[in-house]
Amino acid sequence: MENERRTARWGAAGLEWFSLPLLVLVWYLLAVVVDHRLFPTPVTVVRELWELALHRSLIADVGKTLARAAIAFVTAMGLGIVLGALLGRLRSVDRLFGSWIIIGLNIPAIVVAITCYIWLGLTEFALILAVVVNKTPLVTVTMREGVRALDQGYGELAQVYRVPFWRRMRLFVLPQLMPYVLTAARTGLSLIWKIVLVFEVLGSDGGVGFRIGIFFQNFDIAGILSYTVAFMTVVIFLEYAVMRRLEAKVLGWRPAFQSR
Amino acid sequence: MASGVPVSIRVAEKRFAGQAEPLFADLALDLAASEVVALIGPSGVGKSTLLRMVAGIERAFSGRIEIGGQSPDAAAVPGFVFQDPRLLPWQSAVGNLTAVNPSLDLGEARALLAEMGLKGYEDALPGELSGGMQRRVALARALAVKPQVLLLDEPFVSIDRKLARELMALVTRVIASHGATVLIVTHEPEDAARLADRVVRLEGRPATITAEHRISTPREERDVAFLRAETDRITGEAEI
Repeated sequence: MENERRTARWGAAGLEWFSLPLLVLVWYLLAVVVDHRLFPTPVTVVRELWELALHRSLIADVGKTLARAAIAFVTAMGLGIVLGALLGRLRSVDRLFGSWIIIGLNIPAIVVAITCYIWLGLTEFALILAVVVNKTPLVTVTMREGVRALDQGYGELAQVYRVPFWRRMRLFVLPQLMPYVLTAARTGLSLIWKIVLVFEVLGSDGGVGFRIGIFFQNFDIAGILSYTVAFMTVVIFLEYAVMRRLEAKVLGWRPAFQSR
Repeated sequence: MASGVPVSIRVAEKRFAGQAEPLFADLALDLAASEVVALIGPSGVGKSTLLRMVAGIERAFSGRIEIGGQSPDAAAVPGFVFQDPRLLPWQSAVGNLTAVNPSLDLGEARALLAEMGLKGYEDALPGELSGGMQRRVALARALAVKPQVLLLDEPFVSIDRKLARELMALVTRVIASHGATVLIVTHEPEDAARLADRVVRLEGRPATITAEHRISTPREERDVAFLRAETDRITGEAEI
């Protein structure tokens, strides 16, 4: 039984490892079939990427974008978690500010970015603030649902055994919220990458988005795809090296997770 | 293990919002130190609510509850076994014990689990344990705070009779070895007859104590015939 389960798990892992090479293969075959300079093969793109990394500013640009995304991510997560906890816990606060969150969720990202740039100038602060304003409502909503879904039974358990506040938070509350925190983090990361890049195109002094904007003006598709591949490599590294390990650590107890 | 303390329950009134009739009015119940009292009565009469009031979960009532002469907040932490095991699924069996009592060292926690027949399962997550094992962990957790008062809220509900008997034997051993004052809520007169020194029946609205039965026969001598006779006495089917 255990052997069968292990074999199934290895089979699933094998499929996952096969997934990205398959994508590259599909890309290669399509590029060969289309055979056009605007649809380069992965080999051409990797060669360009190597060139950009060694002799141009690819590494500095990726670093700049990552730094912006990281600051915006941490700020939005922090704010969203606090606001979500307040809204989930206090019905009156939710009633008062719930519609603000709906507006925040639906206001177009581009409007926020342009407004921030007009009010604050084409500055680093304006860019990060625009990303935070865009992302925070999503974290808030996710965390509000998490707080609302807290099992009252565990609250009673902690109450009976008089578990002190911080211990209660650490052992009884946070583990229940972690699935929501991770969901917010994962959706947040994917959203923030995209928004940061768009805002960099709109106005910045460097970064992946800024450089892709320049490549666009020159119709340099190999350059665009090189930056995209570089950035996606970082994202995939974060997914496997950080997010999945974090998930395994904090959600490993869930039956759904164990059966993966 | 700390020995039991007396418990005094005086409820002037307990009323749930939106209900015309109070759940309790002028209810008085005393438990002697290390006495085992079983509360029986129909569903909805307020047995579990009374237990939750003693535990300090239900606080909206007028009256006074004293545990060892102190208010529930000032008294030592009680052991409480809920109707469901209510284990923290992200904590191991040992972790569930230390979660409620951080001063409990790992050796003590493991010993308690071994006493519940869970040797070898100390590091298992609740999801890896059977329903019966989870209830044993819940009982061990209640003992982990070294309680002077043990509160059991229908601990044998929603499980098959075989498992219930196993757990009851375990609870009987716990009562004998730990010496706490025990208040147990059950709807099974036989369970009450097996475990209690005194059986208290709650009925009506507001709930009042309509019958009390003292059982002086030592627990280890309560055989099937005795339990059958005692159950009849408790349910009122035989003349007292």
